[in-house]
Amino acid sequence: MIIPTRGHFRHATKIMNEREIMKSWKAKVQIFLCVLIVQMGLSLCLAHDNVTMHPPISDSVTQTTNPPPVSLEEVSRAMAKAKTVFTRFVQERHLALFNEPLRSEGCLCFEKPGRVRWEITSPYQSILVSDGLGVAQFEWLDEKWRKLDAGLAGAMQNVVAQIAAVMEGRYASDSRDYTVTLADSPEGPVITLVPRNETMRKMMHAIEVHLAADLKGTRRIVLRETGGDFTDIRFSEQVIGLELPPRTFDRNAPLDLADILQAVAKAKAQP
Amino acid sequence: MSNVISMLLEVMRKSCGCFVFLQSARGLAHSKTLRVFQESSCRAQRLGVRRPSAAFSSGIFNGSDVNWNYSSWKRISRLLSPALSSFGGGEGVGPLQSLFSCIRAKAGLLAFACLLSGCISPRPYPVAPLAGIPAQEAERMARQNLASLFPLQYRSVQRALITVAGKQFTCDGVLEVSTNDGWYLAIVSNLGLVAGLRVNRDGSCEVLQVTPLFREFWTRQFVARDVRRLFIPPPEFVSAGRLADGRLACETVPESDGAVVRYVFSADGQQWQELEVSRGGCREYHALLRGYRAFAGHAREVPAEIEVHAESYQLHLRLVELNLKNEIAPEAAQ
Repeated sequence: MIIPTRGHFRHATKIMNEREIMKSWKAKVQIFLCVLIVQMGLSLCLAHDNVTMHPPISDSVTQTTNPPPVSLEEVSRAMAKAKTVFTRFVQERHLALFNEPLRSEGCLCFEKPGRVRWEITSPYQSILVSDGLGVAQFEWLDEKWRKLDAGLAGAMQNVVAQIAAVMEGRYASDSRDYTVTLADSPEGPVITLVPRNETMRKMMHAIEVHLAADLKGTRRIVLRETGGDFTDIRFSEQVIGLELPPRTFDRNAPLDLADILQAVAKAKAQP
Repeated sequence: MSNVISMLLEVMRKSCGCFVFLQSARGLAHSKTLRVFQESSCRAQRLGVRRPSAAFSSGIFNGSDVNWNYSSWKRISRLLSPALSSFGGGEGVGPLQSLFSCIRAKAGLLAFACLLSGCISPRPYPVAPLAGIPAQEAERMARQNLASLFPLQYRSVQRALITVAGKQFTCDGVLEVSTNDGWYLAIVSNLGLVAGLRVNRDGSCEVLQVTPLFREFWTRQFVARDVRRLFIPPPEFVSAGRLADGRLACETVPESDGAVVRYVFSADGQQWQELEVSRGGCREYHALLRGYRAFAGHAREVPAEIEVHAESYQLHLRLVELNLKNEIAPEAAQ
């Protein structure tokens, strides 16, 4: 008969803690990427064959006409249509510990199937890129891009694989992970996602996706965490349906942002 | 013979639980040779000379199938078995001889481990007595330098790149310093808040926010230590002399655990360049401060890049923002 010793218990506790932590990391990764997916999907709501541009959205402008309510199925259908999106973002992390938020700026690119590039340009430079097959992270160090041997890449890769399914428009009809509700506000409809999983809910109360009143793009996304912290991501200058240059989503040597911005400018210049 | 060693290793593994030469692991963390090896985390892990940090869950690393305590030792035993067999104890020996050979093998392994830990653990810089400058003057300069390096009240944002067992993690750090409340630090990743803590003026540490992503113990053990070492000037230190390259060195009095913190300044004493913490003649924590640059509102240049090599992790900090906070008005304070 094997009598469990203190070492056994310690080992078991360690394994349990590690599993718990792993689970919570995965949950967080899932939430983060889900936000990206939702943002991209909603940006594609009114995808056109030609390029459409949306100016920065100002909260001070109140819409006088309410658009007809949009259903989640409509959102799903629209998501399946468009190919690419480019948008700038300003991310503010409001922490209960501090009065001032932690602010960062950058650009987000998306291309079907499942290619995502999340690039922070200020106050530091960093790229998170997925080419649909894997995820890579780059940091600007010593005046050059350095590819990281990123931890949790496997977990992120699994989640990125879900993008393909989402882009097929199964997000609303197959909402196993979130309870999805739709509400109207003067600035536009707001979609709220509440995690079904209790572990996820402990870290993330809800994700709010604020659409433009005319539904031509996403204004902002708010991630409400526990403890009063929240992250506010505001989008501007969205360009839908442009042709993104090759290597935008390259996991080994992603294209320089300046080249992408040239392509965006070119797309904007087209009638 | 190799069977005997394997059995011995199995016994050691069972009897000692975590039988790993932690001292040698710590030393190897600083080893240039190993650093090259760490380019490939798997190789480093399979070598068995490093184990993933206690600060990070082993579940998040690759190579989780590796049995640290056994497979690594088995490899070492395979490497050593030809050498150890020369001690005697080949096939067909008696029980007494086997016992002796066991003892010899164990002693050989221990000697090897001691040699490994002794040889590879880096030593602190050798220091020569001061020449041409009074010790008190050097101390005064160094003290003044450290005390005025960072503003009294400020808020800074740092980008951190943490390397553990070859895997890299990024996060942002927000450090808010006030004359009353001490040093507040929040660590935020792409996925949300990781940890929040405060180091008080008296040196005590309070963990303000704990998340499932980061254990409270890690915050206390590693994060608080980094804040104390890098952002809080020590209350007392004395001049230790000059290094071989002419730079000034000052040391704190040994702490309760025997650790001695040494601050290395440029030869003129104006720029803080390095920090090393040693214990028992071995360096266990080393920080390089470089990239000095000016931030608006602060008269002095501050190190914008800090590179830390600690026992089992490497930290690369970049100071990307530094904003002065106004002094609290006396009426507001009242």
